[in-house]
Amino acid sequence: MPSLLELKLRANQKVEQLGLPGEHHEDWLYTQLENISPEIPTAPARPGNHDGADVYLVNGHLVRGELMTLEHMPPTVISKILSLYEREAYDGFSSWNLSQCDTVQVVTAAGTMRLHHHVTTGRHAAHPRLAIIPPARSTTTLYLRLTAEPGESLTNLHLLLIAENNTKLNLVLEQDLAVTASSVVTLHAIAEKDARIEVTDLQLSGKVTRLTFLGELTGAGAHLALHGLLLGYDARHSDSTASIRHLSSHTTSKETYYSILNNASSSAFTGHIYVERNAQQVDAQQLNRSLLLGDAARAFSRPQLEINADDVKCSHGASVGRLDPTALFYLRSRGISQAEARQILIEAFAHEILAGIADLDIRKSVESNVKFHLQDVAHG
Amino acid sequence: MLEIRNLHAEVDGKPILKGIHLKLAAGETHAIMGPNGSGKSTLSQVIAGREDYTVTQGEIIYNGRNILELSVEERAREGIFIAFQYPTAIPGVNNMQFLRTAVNAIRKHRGEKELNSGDFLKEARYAMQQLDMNPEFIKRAVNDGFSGGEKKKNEILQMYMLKPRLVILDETDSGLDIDALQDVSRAVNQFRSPERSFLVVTHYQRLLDYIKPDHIHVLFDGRIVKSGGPELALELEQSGYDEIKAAAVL
Repeated sequence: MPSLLELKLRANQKVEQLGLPGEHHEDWLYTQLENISPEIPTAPARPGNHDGADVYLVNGHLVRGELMTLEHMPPTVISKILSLYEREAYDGFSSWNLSQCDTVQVVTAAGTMRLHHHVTTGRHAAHPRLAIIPPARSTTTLYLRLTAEPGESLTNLHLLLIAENNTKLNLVLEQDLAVTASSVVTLHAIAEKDARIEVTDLQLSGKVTRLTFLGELTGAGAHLALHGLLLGYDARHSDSTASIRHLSSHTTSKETYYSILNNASSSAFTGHIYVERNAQQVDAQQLNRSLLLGDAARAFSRPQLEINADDVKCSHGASVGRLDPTALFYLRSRGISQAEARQILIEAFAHEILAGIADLDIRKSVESNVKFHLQDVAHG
Repeated sequence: MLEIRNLHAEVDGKPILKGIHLKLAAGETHAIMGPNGSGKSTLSQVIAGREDYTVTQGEIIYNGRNILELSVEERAREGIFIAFQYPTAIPGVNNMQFLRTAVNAIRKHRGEKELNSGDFLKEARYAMQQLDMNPEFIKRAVNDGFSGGEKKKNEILQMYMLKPRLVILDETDSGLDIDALQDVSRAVNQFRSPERSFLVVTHYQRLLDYIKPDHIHVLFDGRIVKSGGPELALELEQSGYDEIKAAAVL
């Protein structure tokens, strides 16, 4: 097993050789990160005013709260995490993160935790790397908020989620950056036997925001859910590129993404479902709906199914449309103004994703952030 | 209250209403009857202000003012209410939030204070009880997963809460079993008053056994071809619309 330092050196060499992916890579076709290259300096450590989160990080460094670092973990945990890092396929941003990250911050406690990562103004990149590995048979809920001040910064986050036997792990991930800042999140999630992972991906604001998701269901009874809400206004782009791999029989997954786009904004959803040979009795569902409010708004939807077993249930659906004129008329016929009727219908569309957040306090925080940005989306 | 003068309307260039004249005084209930395709629903929707229909001629005078220039929401705020034949389901929009927003939009227009959620709920619960509606329906999404009868009751609940001056019941009897028909009719009858007028649009005489009209008009091919008292409904029930159709062709 190579050490973290050896893995970092290898990652650094690869980034130097291969650079970052761009539009010539199939999975990065729609994610145009102009002016972002490995030459961009790493954001410096800075103090910051926290907003009440349990854990507050600025430019990749822990400022408040307690997190363990990888070297303080038991050897079994260290080797589990490092072996997963070692076998991750090269995708540029993840390796860049590994080469530049200060350390690996590890969350091992069960329960509910609010984390906030903030990037200060400037042309620089932050490379936080977090591993979440709660105790087996526990329930953990994390609310991770990514913010950035105005400036051409990049938040390049790598997250590893490991749900061991019978563990329930919920993550609400919110990308809410200043309109000139961008973020790329690489999320690797592993659900072992009878484990459940639920991820809610909220991409609310920023020049370009992206989630690259790799989900693996490795034991019978494992369930993985990925829900997402992509908001767009002005020329903003949001992207979710997800691969869910059913590597064991009797595993289930559900993927639901909604986009609401105005002006010349765009969103891209790529949902790849892979079912391993002999992984029978698999149930995988995928749905992508987009609501276009502006004439120049664009939604790209790419469902991809790769099924190598024969006793499998897979469904996928995609729709792109505008606000239902019949519903608008109905609301207006009761005295509600056109602007308010539009707002009600847009919020209702978004609510279908937010309703899946089980923790009511977290849902409340998220709802108020979403509502705030929906005003920009609705009015264009 | 309402006067329709020589109203012509078309949809996608196809004329549907071809010169309607109608006068409805405050406190009166008029029924519009007619076979399928005669233009009954179009007339209702044009009064409500649906933009899919183009009015090519004529006027709709409501309380002394031509309302053709008003948007659908402005007409609603002025007191025009339509109970739809096919109420729209709106998943994700809570019935209570929707109805309270509507009630307060109308109250604001009338210069009244907004209802707080406690007072609103009290009134809504009472109205639901009168309609024999399950109180849980107020918490559900608007008409989402409602049966035909539940949707119609939800329309009447909205009528109760919005307190309109002119109520158009568009085929409210369709899809209702006899119990629901009685509940809806009782609620409508309780809502009748000297200041309030009703336009009851129906294909069948059945509804008019419960909601007694003052006048009946028969609509055919976009025109009112016959008007009369309540006895006209019984005549139509016996002879059907064939005589009307034959007379109109002649």
